[in-house]
Amino acid sequence: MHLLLLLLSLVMVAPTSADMIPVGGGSYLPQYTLDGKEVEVKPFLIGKYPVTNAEYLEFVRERPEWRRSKAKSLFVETAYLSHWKGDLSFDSAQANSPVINVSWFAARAYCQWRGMRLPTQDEWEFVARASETQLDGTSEPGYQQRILSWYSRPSQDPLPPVGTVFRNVLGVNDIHGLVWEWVDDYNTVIAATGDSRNKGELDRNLYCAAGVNSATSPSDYAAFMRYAFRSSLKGSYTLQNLGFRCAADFPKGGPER
Amino acid sequence: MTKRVYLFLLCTLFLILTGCKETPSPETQEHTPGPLPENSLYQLEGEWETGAGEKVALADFRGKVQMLSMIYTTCQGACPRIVADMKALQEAMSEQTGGEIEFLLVTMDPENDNPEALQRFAEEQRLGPEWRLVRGSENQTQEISAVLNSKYRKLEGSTDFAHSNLITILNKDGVIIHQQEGLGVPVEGGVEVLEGLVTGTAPCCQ
Repeated sequence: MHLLLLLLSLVMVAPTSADMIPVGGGSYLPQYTLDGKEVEVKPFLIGKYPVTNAEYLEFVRERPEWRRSKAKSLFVETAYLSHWKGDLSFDSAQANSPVINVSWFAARAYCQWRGMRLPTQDEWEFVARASETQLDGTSEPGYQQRILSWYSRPSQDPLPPVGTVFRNVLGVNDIHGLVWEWVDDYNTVIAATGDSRNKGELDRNLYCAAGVNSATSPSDYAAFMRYAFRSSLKGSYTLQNLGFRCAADFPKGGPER
Repeated sequence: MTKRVYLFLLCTLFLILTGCKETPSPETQEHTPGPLPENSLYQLEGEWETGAGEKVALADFRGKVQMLSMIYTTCQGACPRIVADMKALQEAMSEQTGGEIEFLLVTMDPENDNPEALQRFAEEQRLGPEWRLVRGSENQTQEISAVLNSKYRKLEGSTDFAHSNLITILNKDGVIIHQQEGLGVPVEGGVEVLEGLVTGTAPCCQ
């Protein structure tokens, strides 16, 4: 019996975001740039999967100040972890599904606790361009359409486990198709020049037709939606389709491009 | 046992005779702060450096109404105008209440804005002692901008930043009560909030 359990546990090894995928880096043209120039992305590591409920539970066990009943309202909205049953429990079927209803502050604290950080917007977008077969799938027929059709559907409830939806050529899972994800600099300014613009103008640039025109790749409407979504977030927001994964710099002596 | 009772009685007698000096007067009670509200900006941890070269925690600013903005000192365009807007708000307040508020400028450029640069900016802008200029780590800067919902981004290959122009008013406990966005915003809205906070009369603000 014990042997059977052991075997079973070997087969059912849960994916963990300790699995980090090396990304070689390179330059790419973001959907929105301040100067129309390509951005250099340094080599980095990114989580193979979004962080799961089970992984997040380890964090709140060790860091009580991030439990649902303890987290301060400056850092999390009241819906923080509202899909959990209590401070330290959730439906066990959800263990390997991405954790959601987490704020930027909470996601950041988790990654720091793991000795990591959130990916930057450029890092995340760099990874998100990759299709199943190409590092840059943005011009691949059907790739954009698939992402857009995912955006047009409500997210599944309950969410499926990580690693079951989409895997790109880098080996990164579920960057599309499961949940939206926090990035470290979600709060950045997009599509502005000079220091005198106020946010009203930024929003106009982003949301109106002018924004689409000034975007570097108007056909990449999926990326446009992501930028618009991020710019609508606040650091304490907790949404039922918004999770995160961690990233890290290459350790010293890591691969050079 | 009886010894203890005697001691207790003696102490009580002593306290009565000395006029209960240990009991706090109503005045000092009023200034004893309760626990920091959960949604106070002062929940942000970490040490900040001021232009005067002191190390402070945000919670040190508790007790006064604060007007706050994020700036960077090499900014030629919007930042001096933001400061001017903050001064205009203060000047539009009544004589009694205008002196009751403090000002906090947080740099969005912690890499370049060392205490000397902050101090220089304060002198150039003729800012009085009621103005504090602070810098935190990169991490702290990101966090405070997230709490304020103030966006910024360093422009590639430049010392300039693209950023929101946002003035935030905090109550005495550091809770965000009011924000105004843009430059040259009419002062009436902000002044009403400030007066209310200082005098404790406005329905908006405790």
